[in-house]
Amino acid sequence: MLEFLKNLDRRYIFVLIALAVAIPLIMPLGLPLTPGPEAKSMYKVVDSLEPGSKLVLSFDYDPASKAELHPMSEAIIHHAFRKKLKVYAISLYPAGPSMATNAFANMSKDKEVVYGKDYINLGFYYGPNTGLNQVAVFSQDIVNAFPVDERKKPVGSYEIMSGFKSLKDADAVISISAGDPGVPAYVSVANAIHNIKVGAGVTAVSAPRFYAYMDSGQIFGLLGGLRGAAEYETLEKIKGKGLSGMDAQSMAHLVIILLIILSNIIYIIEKKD
Amino acid sequence: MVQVLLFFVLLSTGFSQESSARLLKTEETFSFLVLVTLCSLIFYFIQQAKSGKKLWIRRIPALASVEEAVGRATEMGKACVFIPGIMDIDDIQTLAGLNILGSVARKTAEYDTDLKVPVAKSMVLSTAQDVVKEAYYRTGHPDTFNEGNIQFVTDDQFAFAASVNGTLVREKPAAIIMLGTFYAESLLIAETGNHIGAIQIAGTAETSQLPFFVASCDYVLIGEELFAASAYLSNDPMLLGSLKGQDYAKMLLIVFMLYGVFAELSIRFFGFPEFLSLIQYL
Amino acid sequence: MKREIPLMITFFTCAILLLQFIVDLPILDRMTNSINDSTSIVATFAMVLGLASLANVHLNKIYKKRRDWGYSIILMLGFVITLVLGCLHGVDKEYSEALTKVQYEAMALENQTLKKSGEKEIHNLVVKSNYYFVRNTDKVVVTKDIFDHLKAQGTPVEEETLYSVDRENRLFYTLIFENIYDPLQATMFSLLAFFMASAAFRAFRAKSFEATLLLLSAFLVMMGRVPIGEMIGSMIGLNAFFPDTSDFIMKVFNTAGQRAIMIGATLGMVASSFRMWIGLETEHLGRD
Repeated sequence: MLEFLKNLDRRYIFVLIALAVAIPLIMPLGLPLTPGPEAKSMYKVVDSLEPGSKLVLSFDYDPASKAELHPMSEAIIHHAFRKKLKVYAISLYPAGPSMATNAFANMSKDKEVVYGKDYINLGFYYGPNTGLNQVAVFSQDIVNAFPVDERKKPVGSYEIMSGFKSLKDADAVISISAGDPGVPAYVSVANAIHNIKVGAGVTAVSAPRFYAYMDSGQIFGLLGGLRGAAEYETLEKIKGKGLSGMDAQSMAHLVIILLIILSNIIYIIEKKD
Repeated sequence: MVQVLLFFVLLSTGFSQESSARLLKTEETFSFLVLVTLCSLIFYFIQQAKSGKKLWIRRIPALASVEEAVGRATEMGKACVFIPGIMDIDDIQTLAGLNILGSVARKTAEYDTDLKVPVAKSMVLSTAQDVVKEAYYRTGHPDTFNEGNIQFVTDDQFAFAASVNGTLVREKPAAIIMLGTFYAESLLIAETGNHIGAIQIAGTAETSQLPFFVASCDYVLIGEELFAASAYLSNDPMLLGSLKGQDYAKMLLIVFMLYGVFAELSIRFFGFPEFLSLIQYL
Repeated sequence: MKREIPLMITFFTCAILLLQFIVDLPILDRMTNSINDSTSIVATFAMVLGLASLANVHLNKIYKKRRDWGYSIILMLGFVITLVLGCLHGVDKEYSEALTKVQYEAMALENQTLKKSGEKEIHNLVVKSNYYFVRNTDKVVVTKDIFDHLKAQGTPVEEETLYSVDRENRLFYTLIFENIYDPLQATMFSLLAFFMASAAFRAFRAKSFEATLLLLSAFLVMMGRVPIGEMIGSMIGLNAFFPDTSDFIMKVFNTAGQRAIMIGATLGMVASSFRMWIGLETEHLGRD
C-alpha cells in the first residue's frame, strides 16, 4: 500500500481533482462567501462614481482565461449599468473585443442600455513592448488609437464619445488581465505618469504579485481569480458564474490539502523506516 | 562609453536650469536621478574592472549546473531543450535568455549534443538561429549545426505549451532549460518535464511563476539572477563590473528604504514630521 | 559590420526614447511615435517570416516522411483551412456581402412576409448611399449636407445606393473560433488545476524547517481563499481565522517577498539594458 501511495500515478490525482470540480458544479453546495478588503475597495470606487461617469474596462484576456476572468467583467458591467455609468471597452489582446461583445450581450439583456450611448466596444489596438506603448497612446489620444469601433463605424459618430478624448478623461480604468499586456502597463503608464485611477482583475495565479501594487495605492482595487469575481457578485447581490464556481474551487482546495497531508504521512513513515 | 557619460552630464545640466526654461519634464526628475545614479555606479565599476581590478561573483548553482545538464544529455544520447520564454525580442527577459543560449549552444556543440529551441515569436526565431549558429561556428562545429532544430511553433501561449509538451513527451530530452518570460504555461511545461524525468533549469523575473518553477524544476534562477547569468557564464570582467555597480545601487535603495521606515516610525511614535519632507519631495 | 550597425541603431533608439521620457520637445514625441510604428511594422513582417519557417519545417517533414509526420499534416491542414476561411469572410463575428438591387428587394420581401406572419426577420439588410459632386468626368465624394446643398443649386451631382446584407461569419467565427479555438484554449488552461495538484502532492513535504513553514502557509492560504475554509473555521470555533490569516500572509509576507524580488529584478533589468545600450552585452546579436 505504502509503495503504491509513494509512487502514486498522477492520473489518480487528476481523477480526484476532476471529481472534486465536477460534482459541486452538478450539485451546488451554496457555501456563503465574505468579500475581502481588496474587492470591497474596488466595489466602493465604482459605486462612488456619479451617473454618467466614464468607466473604461480593458478586456486583456482571451478564451483561455475566460472561465476565470469573464465573470468579473460581467459583474462590473452589471454594476456600471445599474449605476448608469458610461462603459468603454478596449483591449490589449486580439481576442479581447469578442470577450467584450459577449459580456455586453449577456449584461445588456433586459436593461435599458443603448450601444453607442451607454456603452461602446472600441476594439483591439496592436502595439509592441508588452502594452506600454498602447497604454501611452490611449493616455494621449484614444480616437487616434481607435478610429472605428468593433462594428467598424467611426467612433466620432457615437454620442458616448463626446468628451472622451483619452484615458485622462476617464473617471476610472479597470484592466481585467490574464498577464502581459495588462495591469502592469496600466499601472506603469496610466497611473504612474498620468495619475489615472486604475483597478485590476487578474487570474488567481498572478494575484499575489499585485498585492504590492494594492498596498502602495497604485491600484484602487484587486479582484483575484474566480474568488474575486464571486466577491464582486456578492457585493452586487447577483448570482453569477463566479459564485457558482466557488463550490467547485472549495472542493478542489480541500482535495489538494488532503493530498498534501497524505504525502506528508507517507514521507514521515518513510523517514521512520 | 564617453558619449553616454556626456549624454547624462548634458541632461543633468538641463535639470539644474529647469527654472529658466520648461524644456524638461520636472515630474520625471526623481526617476531620472535614480537612473543617472544607477548608470553612473555601473559605469564606474566597469571602468574599475577595465583597469584590472579583480572582481568576485558568488556561485549561482543553477548556472553551474548548465554543464551538468548538457553532460547528462550527452551521456544519455538525448537532446537538450532550451526555451527562451514566450515573449518577443523587445522583452529584456527574452534577451537575457538568448544571451545564455549562446553559452548553452557552445557546450552542446562541444559535446555534439542535439539542441532544440522552440520559440513563440518569429523575431526571436531569427535571433536564436543567429546565436546558436555563431556558437557552433565559434567552437569549430559548423557541420553539426541544424537550423531546423530552432523552430517557430506559434505565438499563442497555450498552443505553444501544448506543442512543447508534445515534443517533450515524444522525444524525452534529458535536459530542459527555460530562461525568459513565462506565464501560465510555466507549470504546464515544467510539470511535463518533471514527469519525463529530465533535469530542469528555469529562470524568470515573473514573480507569480517562480513558485511553479521551484516546485517542478531542479534549479531556479530567481529574478535578478537571470540578468546576471551572462556575466557569470562569460566571466568577462567588464560585465562583472556592471554587476558590482548594480549591487551598490541596491545598497543605496536599501538605505532609502530604511530611511522611509525610520521616518514613518518617527511620526508614529515621536511625532516628528520633518523626516517625511524628503520623502514627500521625492 | 554585422554587429556595429545593430549596436548603433540600439544606441540611438535608446537615447531618443530616454530623451523623450524627460525632455518636453514635440520632435522627440514624433520620433518616438515613428520608432513605435517601425517596431510594429518590422514585427508584422517578422510574423510572415515565422509562418514561412513553420510551413517550411512541416512540409519538409511530410515530404521526407520523418518521425511523427502525421502531426505535421494536421498542423498544415489547420493552418491552410484557418487562413482560407479567414481570408474569405474576415475574422469578425459578422461580415458584409454586397447585393444587387434585385437580390435586395427579394430579401426585403422575404423579411416583410415573415414580419407579417409574426416571425423574426432573417436577413440583416443594410442600405448605404454614397454622394458625389460631378465635374467633367471626375467624381468627388461629398457629405449628405453638401450633396443636398449642391442639388438645390442645380449643380451636377450623383447618388449611388449600395445594398448589402450582414451575415454571421459561421465558418470562421462560429466554427473555428467559438467551437474549436475557445474550447482548446480553455482545456489547456484547465490543465493547470490538475498539474498544480500533482506538483503540490510531490513538492509540499516537511523536509526541513523552511519547507514546513511553506507547507503551513500554503495550508492556511488555501483554506482562507475558499468559502469552505470559513465554514470549517466557524465549525471549530475559529470564525474568521482562515480568511484573516490568509489575508495577513498575502499582505505581509507575500508582499514583502514579491517586492524584494521585483526590486532586484528591476535593477537587473536596468543594468542589463544599460549594458546592451553601451554595447557591452552583444551575445544576442549573433554572428560577426
